Amino acid sequence: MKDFFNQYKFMGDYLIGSTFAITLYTYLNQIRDQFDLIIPIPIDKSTWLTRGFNQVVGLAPKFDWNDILVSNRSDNQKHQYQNSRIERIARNNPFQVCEESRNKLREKSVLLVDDIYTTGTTLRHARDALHKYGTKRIESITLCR
Amino acid sequence: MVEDDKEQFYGREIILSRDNHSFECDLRPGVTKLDNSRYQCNRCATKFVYQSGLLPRNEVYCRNCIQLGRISSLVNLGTIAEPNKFKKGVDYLAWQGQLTNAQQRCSRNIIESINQQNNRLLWAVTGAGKTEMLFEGVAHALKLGHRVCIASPRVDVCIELFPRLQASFPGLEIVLLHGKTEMKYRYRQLTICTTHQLLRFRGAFDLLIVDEVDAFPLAGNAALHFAIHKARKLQGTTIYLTATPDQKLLNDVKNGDLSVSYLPRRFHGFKLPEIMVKLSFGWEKKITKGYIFPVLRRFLQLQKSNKRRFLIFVPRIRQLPLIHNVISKKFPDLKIEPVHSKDPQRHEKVQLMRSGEVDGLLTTTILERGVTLPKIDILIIGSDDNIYSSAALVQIAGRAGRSKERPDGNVWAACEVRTKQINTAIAQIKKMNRMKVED
Ligand SMILES: [Zn+2]
Repeated sequence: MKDFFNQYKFMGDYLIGSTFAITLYTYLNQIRDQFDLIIPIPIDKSTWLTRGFNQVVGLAPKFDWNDILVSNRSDNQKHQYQNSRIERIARNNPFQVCEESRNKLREKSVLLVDDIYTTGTTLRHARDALHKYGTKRIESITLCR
Repeated sequence: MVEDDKEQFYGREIILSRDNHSFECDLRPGVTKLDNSRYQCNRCATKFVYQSGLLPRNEVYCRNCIQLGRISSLVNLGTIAEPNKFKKGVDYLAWQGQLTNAQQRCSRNIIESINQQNNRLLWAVTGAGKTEMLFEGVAHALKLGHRVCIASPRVDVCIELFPRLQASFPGLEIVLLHGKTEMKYRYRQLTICTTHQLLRFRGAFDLLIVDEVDAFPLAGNAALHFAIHKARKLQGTTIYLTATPDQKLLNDVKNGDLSVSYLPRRFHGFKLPEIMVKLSFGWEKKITKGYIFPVLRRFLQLQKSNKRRFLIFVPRIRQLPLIHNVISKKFPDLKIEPVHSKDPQRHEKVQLMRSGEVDGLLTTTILERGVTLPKIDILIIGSDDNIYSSAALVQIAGRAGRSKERPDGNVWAACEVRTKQINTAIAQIKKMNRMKVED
């Protein structure tokens, strides 16, 4: 598993993600009915420029993802020093729901998907970003710990 | 850009993100689009179609050289033309050894090729003292301020060459590059590296010496041959070293594109040990059941009574523990170590053999080239297995008896049938042994 992620995510061998795809694709389709939206954790702009793919989506590229979160990590971090702690935590959230999807979240049940569980901060940020728009239920899965 | 950062770009191809324009270097795209569906990687020249290595947003990447860091349409390759920022006129060579007449002739030929900027095949049998023949040529090039590289397809060979060259060129800083080293790249006048690492260079070397051109993974690998071509300057000298040149090299010699120097005899003037075929039927079945087979028993008895050390070659990794078990059971007082290409303790075990702490190594083909172990005999189990090419068998035979004290090693080839490869290897050795040394 470690070798897989090393080659896939860090070396950027996108193609081997689809070896994983069959399992994940099947699984996601099985639970599709239980959620209104299945959302991958997004990657920021600079990752798009270097890695060139979202590592969550790439594990099941044929799945019908609701890719409605965007990440602007670098822009937010510039002004950190101006804010109080609470503000900072809020402002520090790199994730936003893209504009055209904001009104589609009310009373919806949502599943967040991430590849590797690290501290939980990422998932908490994503949860906060969605919660603002009145979701009913947010669950999350990570592919490995 | 500070000088230290700039050095990284001299004769190299450095991966830069596409939006990075702040560097004062030549930029080339990582990948070139050839037509609607085909692309070419600009580091390894591999062509690929749209589907393989496709990224989202219509970007593509090369899977062939991904081990060295991914080349994609998202990046540029940055190079600064090799400036040869080295001191001229320094004689670094401290080696005091003696060359035989035949070796001296080859050594002179190399210097001629450096002066004339042409390429040369050095066709020398295993154990002919190839490394020593290179010293004067390397020293000559260094004195001229040339940038020099010695490359081999095999990591073992690079690791062994490094201390030998350090000892022979004491004032010179050398950089050793291969996939298993932590050593960072440095801009140095002499580089020792694997042929894979050559992919990271562009027009860097005035003198490029390629050892074991016929060895895996170089043999038949277009990307690595491209790397040899690319890493050298347009004007310069490439020296190919081999005991078993392939048809391509021989054709180049025939057409006059490549000069050739011959060294048919080993440095001590003795002949190559000839391969003796030992038929042994059903050996694999026997070892699987935990029994020894007669050829193996006879070989070990001889080694034991003559107190001679040995290498036993085994075609498949899975057979190693089986044979190891059988030997430990029947010859408990012989100290042997099994070792294979993926063995993390490989280098330590070879070291134990070299220092005489073990009597023999049980090994897959990975040790067949370059590693020098004096005074040994050899048994090739399953020599009819198709992983042994005739070139590999000649190389393995060349391992035996590499010293003046005992030049006559035994080489036994245990097999169920005499393959074409075995016969060709035997014929090649006989032919080389018949060749007269021209002085
Ligand atoms: Zn490539």
